[in-house]
Amino acid sequence: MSLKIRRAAVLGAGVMGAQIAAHLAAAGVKVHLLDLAGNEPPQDKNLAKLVGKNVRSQRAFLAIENLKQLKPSPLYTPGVLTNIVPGNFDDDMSVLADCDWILEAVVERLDIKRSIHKRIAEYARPHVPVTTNTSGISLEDIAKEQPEEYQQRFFGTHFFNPPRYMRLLETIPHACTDAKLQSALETWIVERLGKGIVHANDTVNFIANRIGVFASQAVIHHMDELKLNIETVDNLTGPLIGRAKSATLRTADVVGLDTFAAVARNTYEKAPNDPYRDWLQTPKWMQELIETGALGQKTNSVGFYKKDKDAKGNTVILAYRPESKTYVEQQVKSFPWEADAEKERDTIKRIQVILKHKDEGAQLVWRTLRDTFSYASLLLEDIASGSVQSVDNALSWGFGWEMGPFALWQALGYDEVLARLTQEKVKLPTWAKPGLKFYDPAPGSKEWVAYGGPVSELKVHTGHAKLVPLPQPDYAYHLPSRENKEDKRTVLSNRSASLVDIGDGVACLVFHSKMNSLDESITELMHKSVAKVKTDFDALVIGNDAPNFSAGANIKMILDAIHAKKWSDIDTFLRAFQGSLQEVKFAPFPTVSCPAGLVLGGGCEVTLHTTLRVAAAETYAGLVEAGVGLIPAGGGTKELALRAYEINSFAEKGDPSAFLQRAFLLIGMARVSASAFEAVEMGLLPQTTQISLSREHIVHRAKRAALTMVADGYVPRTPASQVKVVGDPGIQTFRMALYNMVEGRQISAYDAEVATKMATVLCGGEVDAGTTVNEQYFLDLERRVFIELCQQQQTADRIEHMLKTGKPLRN
Amino acid sequence: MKTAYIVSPLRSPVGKAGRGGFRTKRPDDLAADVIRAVVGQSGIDPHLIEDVILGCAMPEGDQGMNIARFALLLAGLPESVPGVTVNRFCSSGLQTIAMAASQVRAGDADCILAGGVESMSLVPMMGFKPVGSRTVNDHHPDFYLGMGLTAENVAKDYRISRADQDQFALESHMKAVTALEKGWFKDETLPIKVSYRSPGENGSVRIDEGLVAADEGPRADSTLAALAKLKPAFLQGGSVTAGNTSQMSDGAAMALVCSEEFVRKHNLKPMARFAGFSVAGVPPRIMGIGPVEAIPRALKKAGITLDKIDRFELNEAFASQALAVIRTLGLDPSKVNPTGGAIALGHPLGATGGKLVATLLHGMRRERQKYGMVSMCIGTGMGAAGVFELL
Repeated sequence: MSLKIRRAAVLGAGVMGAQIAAHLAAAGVKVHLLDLAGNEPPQDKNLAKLVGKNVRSQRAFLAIENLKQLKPSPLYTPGVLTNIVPGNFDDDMSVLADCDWILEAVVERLDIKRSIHKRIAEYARPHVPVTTNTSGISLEDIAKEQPEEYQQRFFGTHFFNPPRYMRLLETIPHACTDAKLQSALETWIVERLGKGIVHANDTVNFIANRIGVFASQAVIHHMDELKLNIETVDNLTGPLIGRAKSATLRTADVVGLDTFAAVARNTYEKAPNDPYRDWLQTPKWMQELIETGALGQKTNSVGFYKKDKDAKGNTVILAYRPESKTYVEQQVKSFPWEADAEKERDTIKRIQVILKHKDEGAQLVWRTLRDTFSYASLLLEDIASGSVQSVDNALSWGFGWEMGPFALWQALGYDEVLARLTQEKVKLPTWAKPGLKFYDPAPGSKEWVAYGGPVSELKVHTGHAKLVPLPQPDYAYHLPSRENKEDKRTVLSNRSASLVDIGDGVACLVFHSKMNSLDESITELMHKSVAKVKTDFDALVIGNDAPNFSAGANIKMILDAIHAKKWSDIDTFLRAFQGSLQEVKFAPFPTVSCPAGLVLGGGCEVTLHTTLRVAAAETYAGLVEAGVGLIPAGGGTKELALRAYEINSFAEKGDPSAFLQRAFLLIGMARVSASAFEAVEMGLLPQTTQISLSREHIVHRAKRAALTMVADGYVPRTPASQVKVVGDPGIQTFRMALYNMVEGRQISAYDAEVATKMATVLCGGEVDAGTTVNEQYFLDLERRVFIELCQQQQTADRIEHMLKTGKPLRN
Repeated sequence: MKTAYIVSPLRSPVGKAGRGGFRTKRPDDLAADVIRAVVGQSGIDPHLIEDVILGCAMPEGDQGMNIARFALLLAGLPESVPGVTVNRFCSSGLQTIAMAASQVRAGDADCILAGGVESMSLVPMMGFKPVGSRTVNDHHPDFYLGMGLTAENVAKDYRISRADQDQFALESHMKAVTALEKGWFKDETLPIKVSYRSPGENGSVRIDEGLVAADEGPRADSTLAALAKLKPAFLQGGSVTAGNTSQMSDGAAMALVCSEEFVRKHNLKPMARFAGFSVAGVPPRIMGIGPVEAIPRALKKAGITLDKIDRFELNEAFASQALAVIRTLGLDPSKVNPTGGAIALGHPLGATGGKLVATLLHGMRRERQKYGMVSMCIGTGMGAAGVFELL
């Protein structure tokens, strides 16, 4: 069964409902966003214009206004809002008859949920999935009073906040849910919304919140005993042990202390057999904070922490002291193992260093891990039908943990950890016997890294544990994240990149250098890949499974050449880089790149040269070379210039200046897109770029797109030969504007110098207006200008500063 | 030398560029409306008009193609009447009146229609396609200095504080609001018909008609606190803001310039005698100081002294330059822009000179004053000043 979801309804325009609607809208679904009808005059000034029926839909309109303000933005582009149709429960329930998915996200109260589902049942078309976004109400309880047919197509879809960014979606069936329908919707959600599905049972708070909130409660339980203050606890339970940056108490501040306590209380009240039930009660000192109205971020940033100003007016974050009921300057306690731990970049090794110690800090780290291992394994069958991967994925995707409890336990050494747990008489399920494996291959092992994850997982059923194979989706290629000669699919490889056979006559060029930065090895492999694909394959995909497609050229390498004054080395590198990208551009076969995450500088230039792009929606692309006093010289400036001249060539007596200016601002201001949608809108990625909300699918989709081009007879492109450029007068016009920006102190004199060089390339050189040049001339200009900039001290200073601080220097 | 008289100086209301009533009004149509009104009010036979001289600061696009000739034909003047477009940026509308007066005084003409027009809604400042010069960039980049930055230079060189600029801006608004409330601009202003075209039903076009009857710029709700909150618009850490700068506007203004014989023969009632005019150059980097050079020269040509001037219409391109001119020349602030200036009322570049002449003469008549002056600074460093004697 495959679902076609073209129109959907989200009932409840709260923070979650509205954001879910925005996410669906980005996937191209027409979404009706409904909420209670309001008849009072709207308070918000942006709603003053509403008239007639729209006044009654003001809650939905207000929610849409709020979407525009939320940070981080739930909108890939404001344009997605045109897909949201605001409405209200009184006037618009009839639209449900046209909807292919109805998602209820009203306030978390059983009586209200029940009554809204009764109304949905009156209007919804038969067989259409109806789901509820709840984080703590039993599905059984909501479904109970509905007609049987309705119960079959009803289940839970629990999004995590913010839904654009959090990958987790827990799906929760109840006894009557039609498994086929649930599975069909899940497939659609994975492919079209890019979410990661975790199957949860209909138990209190489901999986991620049950374990995640317990982990925090356990930390709070131990911090009193170990006499550790708030900031020290967060320091110990954050990235240090592979958990989110906001760690434990800061997370509560973000979520809201009241909400945080309510989730814990929900478990306490509804799970009388919870193995650690007593720890779920809110400690007295925290309850006092809640009663005084210190709920965290939503109450003026007063909670466990308090945002304040010091004597100089600088913002300071103070920490709460329950003893004195005051906020004081943070005093993070230090521990003897800190220096050793800091040296370890690998989280597992870092935790192993800490666990060798016995001080309060090491104690807290151990106890929080210990309790989580115990809790997760005791609840495994009940909440996650015994699937360790479900639990691990829930915590990784929903709470930002680097590894879930089971993966971490195995990585730390299953038997060693088990021995310590047993020795400390920690509660464990009977199946937890020595010699078990949660995953095969083992998390963190060479095989795991090479393959990109496990092949099988431990599954516990009625107290019996055994390894079962994990289904491998057809869109996952497990591309190598380092050179792997053993992988039979590897066609060519070196330390920075590999050419991998991904089947059906398509090869994939995979970068795997640090941050996938571009260096001589990548350039070389790109060149060899084009030759190899010419003879042995039909098409080339350039993509990888890493979080970032490429952070740009290796600027350390360029700085070394500058220090050694080896200008010819830079020229050689640029010729090779430009050359291999030109080979990609004019290859006799189709090429498709897969931008995702950071796609900066040279990385962006790579994507500009392929025939097509299939980009992940979360793509942060930019030609950012100006930040280090350089210009894109791998063909990126050339590509933007050629596009400007090409658009202009459609107009009789047209003026390319306006299009060149857009390119000039993009490169000059080193603008980085906040999404793939924005990258296209701002004129960086070409209009032909396809966008996928699912990061996981882009290589597969790129391959399909390439194969379509192959099947339809790919016509290779030819280099531009007759470009009528604006030349020197164009450059002088940019200089006129730059002079004013310098005089207005908006940019530095050196910014203007870099920008003038950029303009020189965009304008086609210091030639007469209307001169005709070819593509190669633009490349020659790029290289010439790049080296001239390398010879300036300010550029060297900028590169050095970027390498040292990660921030641009505006000298 | 003969005497030149100003007859029937009239103007359109000044609209806010971009979002005001004239946002879609073509400048040739707007100028034609004013031409028609001036000729009608004077009662002369249009065949007697010897030339139409129209000022325009960006004479291209909607106001290109020698807009003077188009405007006069659109106004229904006989085809025998010629037209010429003149550009001296912000003084264009005064320049044309001075040129007309010169011809009359020299005995070369008896009746010329002169003034200015500008649609900043339809033609951007600097035009549609400014192109830089290598020679200028290499040797004289200051020629390209933006007007806002020249205002900052004036503020710095002449020590004009942000607080003084904001105070000046506020007063401009308050004076203009009072003038509007009291109806002081009624006699000089001509209500203009406008229409807007938008998609109608079934592929039809919907046409909405309206009337712009009053200046759109002045803000009764302007306060010092609000002005003080504005960020510098041109220079980081500077003092010139959108609030103490003239507004971008649309408008047109015209007057007849006639000889004594012509006035007598056709029984016209001239408002004033044209007494003198001068233009002077100053360094481009402090463009706004132009009137400091132009005003004394114009007075000399008129043969009177500064203290004789009862009323000044000094274009407020920027509060900083207006204050620098007032202080340097020791002008009596109470005589300068008594009904507000361009900060409140707007600055439709090429039309401003003509508009200020209309405002000056009608204001002087209301206050029974004798001598008045119109002056303004001009881009790339010039100033212009004209002296008028009320009859």
